[in-house]
Amino acid sequence: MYIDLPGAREIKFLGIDKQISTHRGLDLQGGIAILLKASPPAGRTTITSDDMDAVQTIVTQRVNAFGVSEPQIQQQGSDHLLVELPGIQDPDLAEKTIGSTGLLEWIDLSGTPNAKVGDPVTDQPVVVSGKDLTNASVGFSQPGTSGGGTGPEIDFQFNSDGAKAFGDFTGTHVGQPLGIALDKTLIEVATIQSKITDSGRITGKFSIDEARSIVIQLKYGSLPVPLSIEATQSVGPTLGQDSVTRSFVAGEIGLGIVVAFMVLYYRLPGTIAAVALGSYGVWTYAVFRMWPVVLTLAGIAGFILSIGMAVDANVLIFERMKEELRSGKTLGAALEAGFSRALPSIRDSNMCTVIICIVLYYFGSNFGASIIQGFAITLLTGVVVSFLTAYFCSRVFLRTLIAFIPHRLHAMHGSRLRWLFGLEAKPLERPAFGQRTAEARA
Amino acid sequence: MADLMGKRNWFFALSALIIVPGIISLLIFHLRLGIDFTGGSRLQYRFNQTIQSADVQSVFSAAGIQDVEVQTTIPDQGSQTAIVRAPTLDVNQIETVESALQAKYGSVTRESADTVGPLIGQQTTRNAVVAVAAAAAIILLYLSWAFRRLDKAWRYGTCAIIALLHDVLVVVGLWSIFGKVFGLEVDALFVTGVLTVVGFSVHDTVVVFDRIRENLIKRAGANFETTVNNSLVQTLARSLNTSLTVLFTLLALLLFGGVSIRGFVLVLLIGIASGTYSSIFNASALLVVWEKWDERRRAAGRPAGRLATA
Repeated sequence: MYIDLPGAREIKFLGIDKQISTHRGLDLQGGIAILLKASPPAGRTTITSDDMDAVQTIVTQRVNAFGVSEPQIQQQGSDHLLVELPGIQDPDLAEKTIGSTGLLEWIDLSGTPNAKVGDPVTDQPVVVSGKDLTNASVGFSQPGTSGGGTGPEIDFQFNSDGAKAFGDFTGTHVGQPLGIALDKTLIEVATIQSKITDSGRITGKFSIDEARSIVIQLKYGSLPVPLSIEATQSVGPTLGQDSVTRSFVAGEIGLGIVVAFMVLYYRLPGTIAAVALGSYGVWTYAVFRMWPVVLTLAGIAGFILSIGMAVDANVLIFERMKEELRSGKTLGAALEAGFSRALPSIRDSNMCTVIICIVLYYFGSNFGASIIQGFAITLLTGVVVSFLTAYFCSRVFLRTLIAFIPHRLHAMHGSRLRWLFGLEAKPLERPAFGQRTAEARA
Repeated sequence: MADLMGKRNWFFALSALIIVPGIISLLIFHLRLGIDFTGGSRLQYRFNQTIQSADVQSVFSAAGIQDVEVQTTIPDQGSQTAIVRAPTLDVNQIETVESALQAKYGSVTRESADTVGPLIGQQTTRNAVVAVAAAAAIILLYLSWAFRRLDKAWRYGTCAIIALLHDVLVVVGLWSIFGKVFGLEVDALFVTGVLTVVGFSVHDTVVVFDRIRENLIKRAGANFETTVNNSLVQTLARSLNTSLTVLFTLLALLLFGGVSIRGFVLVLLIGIASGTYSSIFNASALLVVWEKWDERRRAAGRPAGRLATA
């Protein structure tokens, strides 16, 4: 059997490399992941898929307003929405903007004149709501102008329905208090000075970020159902970058030690294994990029761990080969016997890990545990690719190499090549394994 | 050839030396569960100065956040990291306490913040239980398949499972001690690490048992004990070398890799070392003990003499 894993495919890989990129997880580039849960609004008991689609659309629009490069917004289960914003600068602001309902209401406070900013709105009548706005933007009030505060304000314009309702109300309630509430909490209380129709401004005590956040919510409408934040995960950009750097260093050192160990201990076959390990690294990385696998810190750990495991197959084969050589087989025969007799062990070992990876993948489908999927996928990829490279690549390499060794040197008994294949300098002149202990203990 | 089986009681003793304190710690202190399972918030801050965990704690309680635990890392070039564990906090509470920290310490960088609601925590716990149960069932199936050609397959299976439990107990027991001493927590990654270790351990044992089976068929040893001993010595280089390559890479990760997965790497490191040890020194030694016990029982029952190989 001759299985060719040619270099040509790698060149092809490199050819399409331009569109393929390495996807780094939140823990490597920083950012925030938010798990939102939709709850049924008052008067309803279930969340429909239409609700979730609407929520996803609105949340997507809000997210886009932040200008994050690769946001991920996906529904999970029947009532959860997972939002991932890699590389975002202000995770807190994003969390507030995305998660809150964004329901803006103008409230008639004539019945409750003592209401103040921060109070919850209970059953006071609503004059108009945010859905009657055509536009909203952040502005800056001019000190000294009427009704102007100091700092950012929100400028808005009503549509015709809103303008009519607002005009009618303010026209008949001059001198009475009016409240503006966001998500049922008063953010501004004012006294109506005169009739207002088409536009106005909200001059609560906002920071510029808060004003921006409210404007984003007003622009894209309020959510049809309230969302609550179930879990969040945020990683600062410096920690992420630090992790990447450290992981690379660890990977290089780990790889270096494994290569050194294989070369020193198994010599010629070990060197071949190190070369196969190189191709393993390239292949695995290509798979990560093609799939694509989102690389997380745990995922990189899985990859580095699989470097150690990748040579497991080679160790099994070479130990078997040595035994065959010691028993007097020629180089070619020992090579073939080593590879074929080690196969069941290698197959079983890989199968065991593959099954565990599948279990882990299932386990990792939960939010808090999603980092585990990265580990499971990279370990799985590593195991499968390493089986191919350690078994088939190194076999092809070794066969080719042996073809160049003169035939008279193939019998290892007394051959000068013994050292190269990791055997003792002289053939063992002991009885077969085990006899001595057996005699000693008999 | 080295006589490993003759020293089997020493091997059992070494295992007991590690496992017994772990079990005692488990009974007294239990495990320190992380927010993945309990729900809550975990915040990591970097300060440009050295700090006292009690001071950080008082900032939190001044902001109205109780039940806070603060762990600090070893100061590094004048800066120090604090890991704060608190009940579930919302973004406003986090911002409030952060301004208070900045007021007290000047520059404070939030390196990470994780919040897990109680419902998600319960779900993760449920998933972890299912994953462990599924892994256990699959491993039993795998063992019965791997040993299908062995005489007394259930005996090999039992010994492999005991070796596996040995490794789990080593890791979980040590983690209970580490939880008490260093504040290490059991999180979702811990469960992942243990399951990965279990996979390694089972496989290691299967390789050794496979060689015993081969040698029993060849009748390579004078009796069962020597056959097992020879099989062990023959597979020793393989067992040690494959584990060593993995342990080297893990050691590199532990020393030089990212800080946030150190616990996970440590689980793998301890577990795989234990897995190698138990498959070499415990699983096979148990087979020998079992066989000897069987022989004695049979000798008492009827006239002895039969060699109890396969």
